[in-house]
Amino acid sequence: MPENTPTESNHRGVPIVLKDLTKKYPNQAKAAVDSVNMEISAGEIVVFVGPSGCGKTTTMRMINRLIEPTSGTITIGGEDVTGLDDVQLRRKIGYVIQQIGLIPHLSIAQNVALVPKLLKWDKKRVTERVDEMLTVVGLDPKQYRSRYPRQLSGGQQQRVGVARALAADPPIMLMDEPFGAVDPITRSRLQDEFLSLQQTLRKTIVFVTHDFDEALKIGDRIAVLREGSQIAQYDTPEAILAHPADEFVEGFIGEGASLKRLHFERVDSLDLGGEPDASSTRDSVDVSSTLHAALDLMVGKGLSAVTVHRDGRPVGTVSVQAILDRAHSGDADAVGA
Amino acid sequence: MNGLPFGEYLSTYSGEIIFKTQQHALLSLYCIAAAAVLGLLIAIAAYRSPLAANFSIATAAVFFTLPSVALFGFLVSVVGYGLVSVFPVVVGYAMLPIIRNGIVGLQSTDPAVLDAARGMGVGSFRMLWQVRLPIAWPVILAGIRVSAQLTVGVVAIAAFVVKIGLGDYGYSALDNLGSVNTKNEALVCVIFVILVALVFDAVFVVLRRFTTPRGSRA
Amino acid sequence: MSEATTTVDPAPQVDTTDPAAVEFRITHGKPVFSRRDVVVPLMCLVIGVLLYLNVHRQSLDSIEANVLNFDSLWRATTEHIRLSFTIAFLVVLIAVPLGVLVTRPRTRRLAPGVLALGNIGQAAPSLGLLALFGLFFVGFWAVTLILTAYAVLSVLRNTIVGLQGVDAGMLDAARGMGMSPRAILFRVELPTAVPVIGAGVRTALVLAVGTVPLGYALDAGGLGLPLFSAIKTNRPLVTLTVAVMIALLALLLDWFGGILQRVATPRGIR
Repeated sequence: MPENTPTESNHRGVPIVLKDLTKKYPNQAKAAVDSVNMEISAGEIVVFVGPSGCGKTTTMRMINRLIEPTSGTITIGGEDVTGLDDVQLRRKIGYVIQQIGLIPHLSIAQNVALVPKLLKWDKKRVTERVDEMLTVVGLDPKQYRSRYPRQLSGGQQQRVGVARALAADPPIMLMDEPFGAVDPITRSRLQDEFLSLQQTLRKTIVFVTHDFDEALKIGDRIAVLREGSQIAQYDTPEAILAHPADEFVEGFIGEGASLKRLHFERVDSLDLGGEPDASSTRDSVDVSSTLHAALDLMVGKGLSAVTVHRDGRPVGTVSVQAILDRAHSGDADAVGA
Repeated sequence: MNGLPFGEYLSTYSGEIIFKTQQHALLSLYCIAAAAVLGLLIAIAAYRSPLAANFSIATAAVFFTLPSVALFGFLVSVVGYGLVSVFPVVVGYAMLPIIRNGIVGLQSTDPAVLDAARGMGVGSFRMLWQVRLPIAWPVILAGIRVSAQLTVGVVAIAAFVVKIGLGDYGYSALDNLGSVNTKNEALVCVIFVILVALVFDAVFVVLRRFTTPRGSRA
Repeated sequence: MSEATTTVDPAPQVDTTDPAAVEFRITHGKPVFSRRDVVVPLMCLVIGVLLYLNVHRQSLDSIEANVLNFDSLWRATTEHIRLSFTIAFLVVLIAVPLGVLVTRPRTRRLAPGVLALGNIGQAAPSLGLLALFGLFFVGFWAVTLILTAYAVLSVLRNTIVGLQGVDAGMLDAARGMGMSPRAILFRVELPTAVPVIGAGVRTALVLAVGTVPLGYALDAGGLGLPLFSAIKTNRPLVTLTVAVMIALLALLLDWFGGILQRVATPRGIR
């Protein structure tokens, strides 16, 4: 596994491979995780989604050996980690949980500095890194480093949780419903900020959630899991929406699958038909908007078409019909990312 | 009754009274310290296993039910007079609140904190020393505080085994109920034991302020 | 995938009228007596028999024989038991209403002060108090009253803490439903606080057993005088026997108090 030196940022995470990974508890008839095979590419976010008790969290926790596998192997960055010292392994994996779990008698700075100190970084580097991480998650270090967890709101605590996980610059991160404990508005903001962070960091992330919409928003790929952590479908969000593998996956998608697909295509992928004529409407969408946003505007205003603009200048129109056509032409060919 | 007025009694015998008070306080202090160390060690050894924890608490509770007079009497009849009959009883008594609070305190760390810490790679020694103990400390300290009060009281009772501390005044008064200085002796016993107990308690209030990590106090 | 004729399913029915589909958890609460309850009395019996055998295999001198005979020991034991129960009874009579008084909404502010006073009181040595009191009064009631005062403080603290610990949500719901303050006290607060109060009663009983011997000079009976006489006359056999008897008495009364506590605790909480 790559060393976590403070001077080199691991801009690409490392791949994770699960091979025949199994967890069977002695007092249960069925395995909690039944021989799972999965490959997670470097730098991608894979979301495990499934009903309660399906084993998604158990699978995730086997990656950092919080739960010991009964059999099977886990390979991180080409190295088999199933036999390594678990405590040392965890210091190289970021870990964020729903209830956050900041240590109450330590200051925010001390909480964030936990793993770097365990890895014996020198003091100056640790301080710099703590400030850097707090800034990255949107908390002013001068204000927050000496505070205590009790003094922070849920959203702020969760940001500290993420900062703490990133502090030692681990190549992979495990996140178990990290944004579940906050209100929907804060959650949405945290998700957006997290996604933009990942654009820069490109770590390999395993993200567990029971919220399928969160999975659609966050995941590069989604693994829809059944009981025993069996993979019902493992593909990109668009592919799953367009071609759900079976009823189980459909049930997960829930209602509105067709509308949800529209989140994944943008207006600029359509033929915009050149400059609009004088009868163009005043309501318009930016060329980079999703089809969903465009349709939403048209439904809201009762229009069958709206103008498309780029940098403030009109460059064409998009109509309800065009969107319908695109939605159905996509059925025929494979939908790419 | 023609004893001295209390004030005069105090000034006349001040040397002896102070000496006995110091004796009482010191003996209590040694016993509390021993109980704290032993009790904490037992709590640390037992908190992880429900069986061991319950057994320790239950055993200590049974011991606690037995009256100190009875225990002193038993030891005296077996090993004779002397501090060897005093220490086991006093320290044993003092250990119960510490064991109980220690086990409960160590067991009741927020599971989210433990999971997050484990997931980040905190090993088991660090987990106990840097996570569980600081979080459990207020509860443990409260246990030691209760224990201190107990100890001061039991040390008074122990005076019939060894003529040590302020209990000596008490027994002296009881054995000579009609005599001249009984009232004074009884008063000395009551007042000065209360004093010692209050001083110990005040020390704990101060200790709590100074040793509680700031995050828990916030 | 989706066709024009796909319909959305209605929400599944939540209520079924099929009684077989509904299951209630069968809870009668834990029974008052369980098999574990025989342990303590049995153990005491065994130790008692051993004591008896130990005494009988030795020849006693006149002083020892004076104490270690059935009549005198029986008398002392029954006196001791009577003292302990009287004390515990009086303690409950005083401490529980006092505790209730101090935890009412209007008097809530007094509670910390009373607790603090109680702490000081508890710090006082029963030994010294008995000596002091014994100057003026002796006999059954002298010992009873002074030890009651001493034990009240412990049970008072338990009662206050127990009543303060009643779930605020429960109280709020009760008030919201329109229960009068008295009804709330008797039907919500006290029943919930019974386990804690019960523990306090148990403590009082055990405290009483332990402190009664210290009243040996106050002519109230009990096992204190035999014990201390033996100590002063240096008779280890008697000391041992009486000391163990006091200990057994404490264990038995504690056991009894535990059963009383369980009987008094309402089923739902048990």
